Amino acid sequence: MSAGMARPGLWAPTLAVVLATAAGVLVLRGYALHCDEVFVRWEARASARALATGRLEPAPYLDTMRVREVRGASKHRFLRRFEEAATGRALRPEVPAEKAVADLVLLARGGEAHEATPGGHRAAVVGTDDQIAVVHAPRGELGAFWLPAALAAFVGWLLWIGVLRRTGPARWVAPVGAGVTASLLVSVLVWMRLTAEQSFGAARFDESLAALLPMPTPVGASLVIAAPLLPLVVYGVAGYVTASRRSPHRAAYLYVAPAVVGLALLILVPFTIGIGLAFLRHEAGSFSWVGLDNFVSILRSEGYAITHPLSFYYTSAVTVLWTGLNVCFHAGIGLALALVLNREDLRFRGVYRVLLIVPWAIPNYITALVWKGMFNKQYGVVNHVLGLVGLEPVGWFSSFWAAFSANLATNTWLGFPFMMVVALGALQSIPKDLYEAASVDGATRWQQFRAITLPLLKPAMFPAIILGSIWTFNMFNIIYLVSGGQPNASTDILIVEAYRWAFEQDRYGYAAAYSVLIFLMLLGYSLVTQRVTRAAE
Amino acid sequence: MIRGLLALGLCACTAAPPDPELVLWHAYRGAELDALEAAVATCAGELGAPARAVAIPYDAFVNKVSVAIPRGNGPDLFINAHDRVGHWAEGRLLEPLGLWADDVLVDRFLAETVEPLVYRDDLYGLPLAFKTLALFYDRRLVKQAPATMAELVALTRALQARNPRVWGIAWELDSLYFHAPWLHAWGGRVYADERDTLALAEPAAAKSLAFVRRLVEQKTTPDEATSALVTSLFLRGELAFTANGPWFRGELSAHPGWGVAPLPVVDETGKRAAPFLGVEGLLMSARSRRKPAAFALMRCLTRDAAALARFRTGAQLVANRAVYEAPEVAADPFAQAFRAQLADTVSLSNRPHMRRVWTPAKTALSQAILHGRDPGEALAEAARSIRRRGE
Repeated sequence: MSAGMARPGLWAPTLAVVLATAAGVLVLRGYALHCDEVFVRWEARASARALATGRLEPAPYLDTMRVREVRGASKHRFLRRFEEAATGRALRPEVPAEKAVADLVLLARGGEAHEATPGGHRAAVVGTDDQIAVVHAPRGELGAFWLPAALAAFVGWLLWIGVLRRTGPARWVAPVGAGVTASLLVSVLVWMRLTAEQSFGAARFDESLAALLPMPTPVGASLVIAAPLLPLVVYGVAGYVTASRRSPHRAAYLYVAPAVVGLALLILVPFTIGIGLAFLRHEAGSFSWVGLDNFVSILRSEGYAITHPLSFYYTSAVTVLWTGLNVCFHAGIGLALALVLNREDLRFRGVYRVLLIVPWAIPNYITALVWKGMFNKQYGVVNHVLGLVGLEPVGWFSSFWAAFSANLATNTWLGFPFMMVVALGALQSIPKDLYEAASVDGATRWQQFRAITLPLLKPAMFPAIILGSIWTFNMFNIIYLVSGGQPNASTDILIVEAYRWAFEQDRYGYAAAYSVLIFLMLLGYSLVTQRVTRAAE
Repeated sequence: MIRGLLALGLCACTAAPPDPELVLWHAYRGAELDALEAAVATCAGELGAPARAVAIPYDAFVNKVSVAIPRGNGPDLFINAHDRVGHWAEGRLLEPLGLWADDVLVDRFLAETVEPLVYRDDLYGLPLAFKTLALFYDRRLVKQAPATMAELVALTRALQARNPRVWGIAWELDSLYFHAPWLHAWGGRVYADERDTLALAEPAAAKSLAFVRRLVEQKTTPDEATSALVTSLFLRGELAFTANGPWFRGELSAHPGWGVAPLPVVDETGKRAAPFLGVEGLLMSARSRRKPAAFALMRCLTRDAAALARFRTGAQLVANRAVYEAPEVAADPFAQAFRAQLADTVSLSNRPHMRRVWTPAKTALSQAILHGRDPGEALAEAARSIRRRGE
């Protein structure tokens, strides 16, 4: 942007700073809550332990109670009653406060348990005398946690305005301003952590300290890392808004905005979550961070020989073979039929065209189930026909090649109409005079096909083939419904394998890593084919 | 930190006011649905607490429950098979009923149907109905069900002498669920104990595979049978027996004459074939905001009178002990056959680890029974695969 442009007003930087401050305050508030939560949790647990062992009387502002289980209340081991040890009053499930205590006592069976409550934290510890000590620690006030964020933002604003006034809206101003503010925010966070440590006292803080740094969850950690970047994003957006205010394309941006938002929500968000999931491990509803372990395990084919059907390389080879053969058949049959249908002397052309598009028009899972039935060993029509010719019935799903062929036949049936339609459209756009000129020059039909038809079909067929191969690569329905991976999961392709890991084995992280690898393979394939296409043009 | 961000940013806009009604999610359809809705309406009236049964498609049910409850948007009560109970209990989605229930309530039910709903010594649901396998037979082909497998094979021989197209007994050979009766009859198990020690590779399991392979080799049992094929053969009179569940009854409206009996005894071990037992439980969400009312509704929906109505309208094999003594049920051979089979069942594990077993077991069954692999080897590989999946 040239320096000769009019200097911007104050509104853009001010808006950016207000937004950044709001973001900063949110982050700080979260951090303050987290510190408080850690402390209250520690206090509840430490006090309950003290109470259970009778070593120490808990602080007077804590809510404490001793509970014991009523013996012989039921003949079933899974029915229980608890009572307050001092008064002998039963804990009633209908009363929420008593119920919460009883629930925690149940969880503490044989040891201790704790959980966050709306007003603080409650801990239960089983004592030596079979009584259970229950302590509730209330949460404190947050105080003026927002003040440092506001101060930091104000300094950032002053700096930015100062720079702007001198240099005009140069491209690097927004990032630099954001950087300055971000580093201020980070220092405030560090300062808060240090003072928190001081105010709790080093001796009482050991457990809390461990919980605060490093942050307890990967998501929390990434939020802390990402938090200072928030103002950066805000400044960046503000910079672009300032620049685009004078842009002639403003209306265009407005028109594409809904599509961009839709794409972001429907594709970008699940995609990002999917990638994030690949770094986690899932166990009984909870996720833990494992870094690249999933990828390493898949790529090193841990636990499976490379030739084992569950190995990534075996499945990849099957997938590539599956895609390659399918696309050859689709394009070959599609092109051949298109050439036949393109002949003007053919009668009932319209009828044939409609009939040949039918396989495409029927939902593919219905087709898949029909074909699976046709391949049944004892009652399927395929073996029946083989029997009529005097051949032995084939167990279609008991050997790899038979099952693979069954899948291939089904998907070829489904896939050729698309290629046929594309080829037919392209054929009809080839000018007739080219052929006339060629035949005047004495070219044979084969020469005409090689020199005119094929080169002119290429621009239409090439993208169709790329698209078709990507579809086929991820053709879940056919594999899952026709062979179902039989025999021994050997005909599964990558996407089916990923599905099985996720929904049959509950290993979502592993499956997500599979999906990321599939994505990378297809991305590589698209990039290469794009190059090739461009070179061919 | 996340909680802090969420508290400020999201909760204000997503926290819905508590529903004035109790909500019960289920995946029932047809007659079962009618019976359930009638029962909910009756109980809601009696308790003076409005309640609503909401049908959720079966395929989406488990996911919807797993996603909605932790976010506080789920139902108060829901109905699901017991095999997920451990998984959900670990995730603290389910309300333990140990504090709510009492002996009188629990003794309403057949003891076999309560145990599957217990996870780590806590009760997590009240049983509504049970599902297992029993022996369906075609009265056009055989007069009564055989007591042992040797008799069944002999009967099949005699039938095949007259019509070679007839099969003896059929089920989906590569499904562990349908193989389980024979696995257990031969003394095999999937898990050996509460600590999830895998027992699938024990010799007894291999023997059960060899036994089924013999049935296939001597043409008593067809290979590659799917549930659709079993139904079609049975309707056409080309299949004398099938080990099938109560749902099979719905397929048989066009069948002129069929009977049900407990599964036969395997002669070699003297044990009756013992299928897996599945229990449909009425479960309470741990996030319900009206637990006392929800529990009162649970108590009401599982009363003997309500169970009898579910048996009448929905043809459910209900879990209440007293129902099977009612005259109309005592005279119902279908209900009594399954009730008799109940004594010889093995409850499907409700622990999360069970989910890892199905696919590797399917591979082993298919290899050993259909493709001639050594049963011991096939099972050993399945066991390795299951352990690895657990890592």
